[in-house]
Amino acid sequence: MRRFFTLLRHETRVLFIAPSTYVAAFLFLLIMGFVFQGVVETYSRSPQNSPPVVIFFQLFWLPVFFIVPLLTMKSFAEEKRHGTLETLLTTPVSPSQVVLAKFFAAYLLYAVFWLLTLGFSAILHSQARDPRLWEIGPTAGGYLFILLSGLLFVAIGIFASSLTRNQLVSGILSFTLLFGVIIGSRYLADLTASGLQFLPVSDEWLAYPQVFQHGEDFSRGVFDTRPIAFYLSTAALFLILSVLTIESKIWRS
Amino acid sequence: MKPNKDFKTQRWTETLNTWLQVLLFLVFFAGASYLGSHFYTRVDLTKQHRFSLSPETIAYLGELERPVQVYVTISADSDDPDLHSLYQDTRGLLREYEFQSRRAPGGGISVEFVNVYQQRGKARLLADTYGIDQSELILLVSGDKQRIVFPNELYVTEGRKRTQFKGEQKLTSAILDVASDNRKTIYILSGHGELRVDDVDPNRGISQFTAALRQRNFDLRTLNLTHAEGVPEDADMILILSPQTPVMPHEEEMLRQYLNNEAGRVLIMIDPELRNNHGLDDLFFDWGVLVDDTVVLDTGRDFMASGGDLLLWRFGDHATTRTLIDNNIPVIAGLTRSIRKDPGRPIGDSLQVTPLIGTSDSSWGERNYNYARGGTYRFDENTDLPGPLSVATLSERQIASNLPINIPGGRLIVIGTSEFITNSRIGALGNLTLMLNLINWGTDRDSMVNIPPRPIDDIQIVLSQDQTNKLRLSMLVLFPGSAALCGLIVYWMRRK
Repeated sequence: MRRFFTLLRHETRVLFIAPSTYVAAFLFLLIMGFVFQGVVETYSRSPQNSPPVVIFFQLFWLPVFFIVPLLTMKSFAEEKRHGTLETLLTTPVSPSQVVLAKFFAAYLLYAVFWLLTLGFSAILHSQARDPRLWEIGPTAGGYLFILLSGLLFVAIGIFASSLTRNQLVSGILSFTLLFGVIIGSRYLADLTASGLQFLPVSDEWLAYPQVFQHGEDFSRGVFDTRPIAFYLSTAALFLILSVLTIESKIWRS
Repeated sequence: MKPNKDFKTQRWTETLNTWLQVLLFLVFFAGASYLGSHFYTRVDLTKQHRFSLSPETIAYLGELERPVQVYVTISADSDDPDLHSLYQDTRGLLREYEFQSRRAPGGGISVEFVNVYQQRGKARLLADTYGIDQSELILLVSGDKQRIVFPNELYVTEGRKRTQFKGEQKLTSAILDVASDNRKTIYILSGHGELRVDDVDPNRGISQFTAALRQRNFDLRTLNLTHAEGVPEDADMILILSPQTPVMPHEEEMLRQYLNNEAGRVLIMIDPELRNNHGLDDLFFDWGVLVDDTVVLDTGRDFMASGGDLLLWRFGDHATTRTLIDNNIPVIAGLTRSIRKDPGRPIGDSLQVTPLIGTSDSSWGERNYNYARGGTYRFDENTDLPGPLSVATLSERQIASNLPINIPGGRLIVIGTSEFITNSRIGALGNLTLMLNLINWGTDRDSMVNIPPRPIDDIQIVLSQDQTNKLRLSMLVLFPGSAALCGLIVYWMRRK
């Protein structure tokens, strides 16, 4: 455990001093600022029957597609390119500790980025002073969804990075996998609803990985245990696959 | 050669081992997903539990006798804010119904949203199977029973503004309606030349109206009281639709007994030109209703349709007319007589008489309609009834109780025309809506469940220009700028 924390400290430090982190933070806050601004304008134009965070979190996918690849693409790809992964694995640390350390470091940063957006709501509240804008249930639910889904998204990024030695390939792979999970699952459900049954699975199974639906439920303030099981199990799956990839000589060579 | 072979074997073993581990973890993942998706719970974290169903609905859903399929044809992509919030409200609510009914012994509720413009195959299937060919409605199907809930039934509105969402009350009663084997039975009186139930004739047939009732799960039967000993016990409501010959005294007595002693529900339509020979005078007196021998005439341009039909825009404020008032929809009727509160009605707190439909200020009740036929009608203040007039009334009796609640008693609806439910007019304007509302109210259909509507608390952000600028500056400059500044400091420190 001590080795894991040493690794985690190191990985976090590496991320916090990397210029790419601050480029990502700048882009993330700028885009989310625009999004929040748009939400405020929507509420200024006409009354809505749900708090602003509900609409804000509906656009969660927008930053995910670029922030996750940016944060994770170099985690293993760079080590492989520099040949430092082999050296790292000869030290008394296990591949799973390495994977977990890189994962949690990236996840921590991802969570910090999102938690910074709490500032938007605080500023809005300070200006508008309407308690309904700051309802605790939907706000807590929305951020809980971000933290939960972040587990899966960052694990996907780590997995993509473990497959290649090229950062660019890792980033594109990560984007593609995220796109498949977020948009693809929804598209598949839409196709099935319109009568085109591709997979021999029930509607219940198709509803299970619907990330948009999870986001909608949580940001309305409805806490459901199904998404928790989904994000924890899929994140675990991608991390285990990353460990196997690192251990495997096929992918290391 | 041997060491080489050993390396090869070891490499194969490692590869196999890796793939077996992958397979193992995939199986683990599938198992975890199965457990996660089948054993779950939902908690509503909102302050007022906006997305929780009432204990009454949860109790009903837990004992659902058979599965209910819900089709919703409300589009998700509408630009109309009302339709968009309708979609959001319905979707959120139905998700809770699905969740709460998942362990019902007879099968739960499954919901399917159908975009009738994009999912043509599904739309055709709905049209062929259930006769549904329009968007923006909710269809509930269970076994051979079905019921449609329209969007305007889901909201309480004031003027044009939606103030309360009563979706749970409507959907729970609709679910109970289709999922239980009990049907409301309506008897239609016959034997006096009444309107013909299954006749397609445009003027005396009401086949379209009865088809609409059957589609909404009412069990329709005809009733001839001439040789009967009483009103059948299973009668939830009796319709007397434009009798052409007087109702016999013993028949009237049976109806009075039914209304007074069995808290019966009766709807009577009396056309003009029948004089006072309808034979129901005593019954009307008991229930505080005066049926005038007049024909309502109107010279107001907004109150006459082409062909001389009467447009009725004025409604008493009542659960049955609220949809028409809110949406400003009139009903259209042919020859109509005035029906009003009887000034000499029995006095008592338990009887409440409400005028339901009114005519305009420019109308009057023509008493000499036979003499004036073919000539010009003119208001004669000595003989005619001055407008505005009431042409329909609702009488209701509350049963006295020791408990601090009112138990509903009998209900009588009297309408001074039948010429708005005949095949030629039932589809026009608000005619069918009003009739269905009256029948639902008469049979207590939607008051079986007592779920209060939820207030709609719309949020609007009101900011001054100065505040908007501050907000914009913070979000677009302060936050990203701080991140960029931190990045520059770190870069500078590393260089140093």
